[in-house]
Amino acid sequence: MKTVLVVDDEPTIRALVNAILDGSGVRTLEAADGPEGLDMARRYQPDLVLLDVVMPRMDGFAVCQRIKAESSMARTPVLLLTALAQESDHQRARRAGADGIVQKPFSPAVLRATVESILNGGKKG
Amino acid sequence: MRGKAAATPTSLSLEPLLLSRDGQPWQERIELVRLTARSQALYCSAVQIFAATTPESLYEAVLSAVSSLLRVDLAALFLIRDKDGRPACRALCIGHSTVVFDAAEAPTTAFADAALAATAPLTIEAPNPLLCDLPSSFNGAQAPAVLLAVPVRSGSEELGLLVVGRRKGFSFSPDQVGLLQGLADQTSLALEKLRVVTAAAEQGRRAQELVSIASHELRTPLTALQGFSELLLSREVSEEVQKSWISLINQESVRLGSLIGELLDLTRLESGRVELNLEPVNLRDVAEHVVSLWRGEGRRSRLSIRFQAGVPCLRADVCKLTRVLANLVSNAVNYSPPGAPIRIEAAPRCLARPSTLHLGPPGSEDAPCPAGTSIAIRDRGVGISQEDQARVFQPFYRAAPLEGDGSACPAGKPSGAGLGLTIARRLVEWHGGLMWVESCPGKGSTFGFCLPLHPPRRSASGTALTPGAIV
Repeated sequence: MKTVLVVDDEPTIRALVNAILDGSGVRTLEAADGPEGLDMARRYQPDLVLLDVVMPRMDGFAVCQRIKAESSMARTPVLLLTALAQESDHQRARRAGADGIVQKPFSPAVLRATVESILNGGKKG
Repeated sequence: MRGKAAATPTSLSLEPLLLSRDGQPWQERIELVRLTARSQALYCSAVQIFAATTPESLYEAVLSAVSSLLRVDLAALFLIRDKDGRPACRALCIGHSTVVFDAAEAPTTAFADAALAATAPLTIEAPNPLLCDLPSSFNGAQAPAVLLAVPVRSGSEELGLLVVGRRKGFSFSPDQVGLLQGLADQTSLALEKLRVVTAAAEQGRRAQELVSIASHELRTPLTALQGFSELLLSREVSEEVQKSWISLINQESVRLGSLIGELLDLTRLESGRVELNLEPVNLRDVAEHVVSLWRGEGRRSRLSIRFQAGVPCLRADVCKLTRVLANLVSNAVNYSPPGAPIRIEAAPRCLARPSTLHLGPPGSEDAPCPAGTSIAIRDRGVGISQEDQARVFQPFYRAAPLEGDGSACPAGKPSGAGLGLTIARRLVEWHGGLMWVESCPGKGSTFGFCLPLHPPRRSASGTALTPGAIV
């Protein structure tokens, strides 16, 4: 079973992502902020990280950069779930090494399809 | 520091003199020529002074005009500094080079203090000890033999002084004093213009920033609304799951509503569209009312009030003052373990420690305490790190619960839109007061504010005292 790590400081969003992925045959793990997310990513080596951007303590860009910098996780796909809507934010995401961006608010069907395509085909969203 | 050559047209044309064959006395004709030349020169200098778009270029334009029109050896512009109300030298022109000083390192002189106190043009001539009490860069090779200062005023408000000096020779004629005063008046108008322009630009920048952060904050509850409603429409789930999703939708729509309300309030505060309904306010009544707001939820026992003797009746807007207190108490409740005590204190003197900074308008984080009355809300909650203390008043900033701490914020995340402290600070500033914060991580925080005895008068439009309008 594939593992997806959801890092978001909003419990409602974590619950939503959990509900969306429920029934798609993946195991979800949750972290409530950047450092916790990084820690869990190291420990559980998930197949995909869904990462919020604006979080206290360490933002999603920094977490993404750290994940991509560690040899054991460099190939782990990272999808940023962000409410930031400016082109400069998207550029930052690319510079941080993110494999894709899903803009909030998102449609559950779109998120589920994106996640499934990354997990199944290695295709990057 | 930068240098700039003085350049203002001053040459007199002799041509009109030659034409004086109509019986008009030569003296009158000369006077006319002199006046024409002077108005032309004043006009040119005004154009240059008003074209300035930064404080530095304004100072340089003023001193360049002064030096060349009055043919002096030195010219200086002093502006009243906020710290202590003393005039500090912001720009100095000797010969053809101008030096601009930063606000922090602008020198003061006894002569400028004396001139400000005189409130009218003041001339001193050698020998006078005040001539020697000048910044070292003033003196150069030789101390001035004569100094003249005229006030720079906007209405009845003293903005500073324009000072000129000569190393040798004669005192200044009434004509020259008048000319310098004319330039001082132009300077005050130009300073005022620059102040308005800068404040408008700052206001625009802040509005832009607020829109950008707000759009981010609005998207999060929207994500939950769209996500759960689409799931409900597309999936067959148990009644229990349905209920939990609907309750999340409900929770997020309530949050969205309060977020929009607070955003509108903050937008009004930031754009200066605030009217204070000032009336005598008994602070204890306000504190008791705020405590009663939490009574219904069984939290009364944790809130206490301690007033020192002599807390005066305030002139304030009672609704807005109540909101300030309620926001600060709500913040204390959010960041404290359940049942931990929270105390509202008031005193007729500042309750902050001497080392605590009073937060002025943006850019001046160390403003003088407006004295008067002080109110503080003390909690024994999670506390705020030094780094976060600088940020807690930013819109939407929410301090994270401390490392390894699960008990302090049982809900996991504090409630509220993250605008409570920003709004409280703005409301305090509209009352002419200043906010401060003291905190020790793990031990608790104190949010306080000091209000002046008399709130400042403001213009009908409410723009005169918009925080942050300082050149």
